[in-house]
Amino acid sequence: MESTAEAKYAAFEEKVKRTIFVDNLSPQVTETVLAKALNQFGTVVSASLIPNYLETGNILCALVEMEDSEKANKVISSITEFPFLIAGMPRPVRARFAEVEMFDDRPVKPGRRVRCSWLDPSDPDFEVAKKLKRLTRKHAAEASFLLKQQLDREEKLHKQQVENLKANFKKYEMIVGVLSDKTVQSLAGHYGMRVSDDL
Amino acid sequence: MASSDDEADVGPQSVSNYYFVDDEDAPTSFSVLPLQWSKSESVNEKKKQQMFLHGSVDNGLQTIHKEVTAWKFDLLNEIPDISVLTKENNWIKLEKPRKSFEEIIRTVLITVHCLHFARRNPEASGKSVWDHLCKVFSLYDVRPSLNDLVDHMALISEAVRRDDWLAKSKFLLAFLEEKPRKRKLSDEDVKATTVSAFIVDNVDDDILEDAVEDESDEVDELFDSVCAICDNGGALLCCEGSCMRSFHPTRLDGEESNCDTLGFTRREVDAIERFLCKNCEYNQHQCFACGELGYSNKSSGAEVFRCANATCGHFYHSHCIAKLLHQEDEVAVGELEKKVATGESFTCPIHKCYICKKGENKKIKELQFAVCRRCPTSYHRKCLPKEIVFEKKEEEEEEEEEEGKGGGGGGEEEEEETAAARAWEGLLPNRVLIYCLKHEIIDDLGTPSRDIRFPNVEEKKKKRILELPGSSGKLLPKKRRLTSEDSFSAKTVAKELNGSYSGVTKIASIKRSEKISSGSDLLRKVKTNDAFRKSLKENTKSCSTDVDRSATTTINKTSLGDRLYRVMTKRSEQVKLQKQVLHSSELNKTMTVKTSARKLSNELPSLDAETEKRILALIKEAASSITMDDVKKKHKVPSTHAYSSKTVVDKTITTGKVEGAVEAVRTALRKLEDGCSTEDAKAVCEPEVLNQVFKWKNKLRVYLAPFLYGMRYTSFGRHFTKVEKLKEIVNVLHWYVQDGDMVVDFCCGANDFSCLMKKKLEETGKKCSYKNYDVFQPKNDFNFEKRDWMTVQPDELPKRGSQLIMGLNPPFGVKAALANKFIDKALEFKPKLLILIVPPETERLDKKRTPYDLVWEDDQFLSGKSFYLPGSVDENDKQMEQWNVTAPLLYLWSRPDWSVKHKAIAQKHDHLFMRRGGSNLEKSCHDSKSPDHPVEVHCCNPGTSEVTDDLYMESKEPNHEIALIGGRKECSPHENGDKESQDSHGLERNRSEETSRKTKHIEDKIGRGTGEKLPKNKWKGGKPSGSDTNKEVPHRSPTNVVDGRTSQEGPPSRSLETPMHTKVGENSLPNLESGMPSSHLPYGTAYGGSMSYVHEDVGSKYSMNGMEYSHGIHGFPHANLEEQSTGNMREIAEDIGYRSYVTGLERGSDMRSQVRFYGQDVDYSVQRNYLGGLEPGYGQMGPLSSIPYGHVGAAVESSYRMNMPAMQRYAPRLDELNHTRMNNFGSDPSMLNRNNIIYDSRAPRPGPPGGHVDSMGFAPGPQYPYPHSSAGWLNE
Repeated sequence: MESTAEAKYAAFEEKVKRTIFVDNLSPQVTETVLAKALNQFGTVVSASLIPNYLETGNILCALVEMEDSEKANKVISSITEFPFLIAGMPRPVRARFAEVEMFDDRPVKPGRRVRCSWLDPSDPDFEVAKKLKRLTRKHAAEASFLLKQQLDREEKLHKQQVENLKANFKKYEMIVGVLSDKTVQSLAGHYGMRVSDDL
Repeated sequence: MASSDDEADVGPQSVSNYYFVDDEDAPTSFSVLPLQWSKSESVNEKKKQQMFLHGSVDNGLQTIHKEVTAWKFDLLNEIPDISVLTKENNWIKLEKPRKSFEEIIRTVLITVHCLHFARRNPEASGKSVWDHLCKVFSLYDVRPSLNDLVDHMALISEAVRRDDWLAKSKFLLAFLEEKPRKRKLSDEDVKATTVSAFIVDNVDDDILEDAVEDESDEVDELFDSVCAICDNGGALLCCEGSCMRSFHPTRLDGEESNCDTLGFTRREVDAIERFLCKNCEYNQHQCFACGELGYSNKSSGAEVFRCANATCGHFYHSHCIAKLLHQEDEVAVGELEKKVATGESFTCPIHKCYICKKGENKKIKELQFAVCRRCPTSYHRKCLPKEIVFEKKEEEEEEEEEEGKGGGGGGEEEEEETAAARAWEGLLPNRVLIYCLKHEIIDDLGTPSRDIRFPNVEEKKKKRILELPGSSGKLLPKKRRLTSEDSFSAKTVAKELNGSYSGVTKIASIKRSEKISSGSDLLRKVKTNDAFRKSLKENTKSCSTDVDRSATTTINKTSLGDRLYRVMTKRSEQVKLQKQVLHSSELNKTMTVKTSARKLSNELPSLDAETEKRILALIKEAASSITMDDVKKKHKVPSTHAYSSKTVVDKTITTGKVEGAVEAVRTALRKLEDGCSTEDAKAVCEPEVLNQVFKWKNKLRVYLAPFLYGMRYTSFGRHFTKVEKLKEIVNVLHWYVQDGDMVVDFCCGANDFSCLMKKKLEETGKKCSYKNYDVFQPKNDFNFEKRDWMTVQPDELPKRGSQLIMGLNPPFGVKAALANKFIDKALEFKPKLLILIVPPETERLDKKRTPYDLVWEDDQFLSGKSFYLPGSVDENDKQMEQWNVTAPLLYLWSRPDWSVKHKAIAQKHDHLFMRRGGSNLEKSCHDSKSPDHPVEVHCCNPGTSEVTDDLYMESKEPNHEIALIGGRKECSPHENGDKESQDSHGLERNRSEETSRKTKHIEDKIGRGTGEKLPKNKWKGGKPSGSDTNKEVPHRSPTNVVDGRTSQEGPPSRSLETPMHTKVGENSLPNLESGMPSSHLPYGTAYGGSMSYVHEDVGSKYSMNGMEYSHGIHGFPHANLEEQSTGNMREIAEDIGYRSYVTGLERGSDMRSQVRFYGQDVDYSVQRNYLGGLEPGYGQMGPLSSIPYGHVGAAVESSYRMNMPAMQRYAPRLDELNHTRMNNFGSDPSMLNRNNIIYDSRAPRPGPPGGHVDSMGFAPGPQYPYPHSSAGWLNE
């Protein structure tokens, strides 16, 4: 009993080592898409999206298990080195090694026993527990604030880029407009010059 | 000279990762600090500017932030030491600068290293000095050069004076003798020249070089590249708006010409994405005639109007311009005023010579303009009044090299007190910059008064300008003379000028340079006091402590400041310090916060202001620690993508310029149509503008590609050859491999090729080694090295070229640019064999400097779905497949000394036959099909209205054919026996004749009759590739061809079109099934497309498919825009494009042909759409009648794009092959883009450089009656 649990846990730890945590995924990404996308770097054993209970945001993250930890490492370095876009989304994906806590189906660590009990308000531990609870909430709040800031910045950058893009696109349209109604060509004809569309 | 530490050890001894900032927080070089030459000679000069040293000490454990007052260097040690003196009188040695700061101190570092080297090697020649410096500064992007030393002439001469050893250095003496001037270059030029001066030891640079050069030759030949305020070049910021002006953005940039500049800091400038000057922002522009501001918004009561000229950008009041244009005639003035006021376009007098009233011709030097920068007056060079003096001859030369005309102007003055220079060469492109005689040159500016006004700051500005000359005017000329006698560079002159502006005129007359600078220090200090106080305050604020203002003021300022500095630099201490500073009230506040926090409910607690601030501070800090350079360093871009055109597109092609150009083009044409002279039209729109428009278009097109075709690319945009295909290749290739060879895959992708090779070769008992390179990690690690192929050096491979076999599928790039680079790189290894999958437009290896022989080529092998997109899935979660509309070719090239052997192998194993197997099959069904083709071709002609272009095209193609046939003819005796040689002979022949053919295509056309006869027999000789079949088909009905041609000349005839289309549409369906060679259909379809194009010009908008993400990795594709551009297409695509080829697929029986048709269907569906357009009754296509060709084409693509979110760069590649080839074709000067659409078919390959077999795919069809002698090689 004990030994199987340990073996199971050891296997799980191995799994953790060859698993990468992929962050900043676009909501369109599915597990298959993800698996395929990473399959070009190495065999993907499994890919699973991590449900996000805290945030209702549109950023997904996922755990992708590779064949071995070396591959996992290489995938991470590939993704880090080059902006890696999955599903053509404007957001480059981030990747790092998975950690034990990221698995919701992780086996119990052998030898560790979790016991739950209600605390009486008069219990001296009650305050401690409350404090921890508060701290957790505070951290969550801080994290979400941070995330919001980050997203705001991203949004701002995004807007800026969109604006640039639109401006550039407008330029392009203008040029194409004047080319396609042959104004340029006929003017060139008048000037007796040969214009070429090729650089 | 320099000394060692003379202070007690207080504080850190050395600092690394350092940088200096001035009181405005802008990075500055420490070289502006006074230099302490020796221990005894203390620095008693007042500093002009506050400067702070940032950096890490104690091996990075701590950061410091200290004010510094002086610097010194020590040349005695092994490597030169540079130290700075802190305010606490403590010398800190500078170790390694922060990377991003290197550029700022590079000149001084290079200078010191140069001194150091020169001191130790007094005999050293210039070359060895530079070699040494290049070694030391090998990491710098730009190689050390004389320019770096020129900035520090004063320092060098002083050092030489003080140090006997240095005085012996030949190099330095020669250098000082020369008194070189800094080259005058705008910043783009600097880039280009310095980069091209590179030692090509690094391929990155090599590639970069190409790119940059490519850029720079394009960079604004038409638009002014001088600052609108001071009329000097340098680092400029370009306004996006209609004024088309550029400005010096920061004080530093405008320093040498005393430019008022826009007054930004460097950081602000970097943050600006799109700069709009105040005038353009508020739509208030100055009238160039009277100088007054007026509203320029055309839609709401404009007062000033812009000149219609494409590159002008000047505004005028209607009455001002009317007066200018009709000086005497009052009636005309009134009339014109009214006209202009109602929006009629005009060209201002700038565009006609003031004397002879003729226009400009930039190509003839005498007819180039000299343009006044202050009023609308221009002269031809030949008409330029004598009074407008150029700088003296010898100066003129250096003027081009000199950074500033401000300094140069000064130099001029001293020698020729009588007349100030009014004309400068080399500042405006192909023009002379002048100030005409109406304007009085202000001595110390070297220009007339500068009266650029911005809407809201005009008052202030004006005052400043007026004040400037008054305060220090008189002493300046003297000083200038001094400085130039001291042979200072232009830049230092400018700097000193600046110093003196701030009021140090008296000190300025002292001769020694360091004293002058110290003098300017003095007065800087006055200013800095305030600044210091200010910065203190800012620090207080930024510390995120909630310190009460009143509290701050009560505390002694300096001490608080010091503490706050520490707060800034040491995060760990921050909290503690905060607490120290916090007053009880604040404490109370936090207490309350805490208590309130106790009453937590289940919801997430809202954060108190304190925490938020803390987090924000953290964010800010984290953000500030990340610089663009760091990010760039971390993300290595493959060398092939090292260059992004972003800056060019963003900063150089401004909206204003584009708008101006587009408007001008329209106006010019209107004028011509209204009967104006060409001269007038040219005044509106120079011919050069037209070229510029095309260049812009191409730039933008490439740049925008990922956004226009966004969804189709994930990740790294690769496409891999399918394993089945690879197996076939391996099956052929293994015959050529010998025991002990090495197989190198330079872009291995999934790394299948080597594995398959290994397997096969082991089966056949050959032992070989393998090496695979790619920048991306493949799934399979087999002999893989993650390397950029461009960085692999020949000596790294264990085998010599005669044992190397290289391949296979390089990235293609725009017009095969990347493929060419990869191949060139591979050729450095001199492999005996090169197996290549490359697009047709790739430069052929027999045209390289070291030509290779073609063993065989196959243009059919990879048609159809031969590729897949790694890492992508379609809607069914299947790996996405891919086909190329124009199939890339599979080549086997041999090193000449091996050719005979390889060709023997090829012959022995009948590889040529094998390659044709597929097409032979297809051939059999030709006979029934062929009638269609002439019809198709026929019908296209009326559709395209570009009679001349088409003619040209048509006539050109057949000529190709003729030539090739000629080549064939010679080879024909060999018949099947020696196909390779036949092949190459033919090709070469084709090539050699190509040029002549081009020029005399008309004659050829006439002589076509004979040409047509020629092929008949020769075809039997066996055209080596499957594409022949295509060519043969249409040969049948020459009369139709002729018809086609004539109808081409005539107006498009509808009656012809419709039936034919139906025919094509219907007939080609069976074609599909029966396995017709691919290229047939596209003829028709392409033409169909072009017809629809004529109907809908819009189509061209979408014809830009053929582009590559040369900057793919930089791209940040944005869905919105993508949607905007392709949104509606998708629906259509779903309806037609996708479905139709799905059905096409189902119908196919023969796998091979099916595959091919699949690709074809893209075009096919287009055609159907079009048919629908013509004939509303035609099936379900009816509703689509209004869809322009390009649109549908895009739609077809988007259909799969849609389903396969993770599409790739190579998907565009599909149609890109199409479209880029169009572009290639466009290189033929008379060929315009939309004609190229005609070629938008897969199989015909009229690649201009190619002239190879495939290139005839298209044209010969109609031209050559060919009585189906296909049997000739069916039998084979």
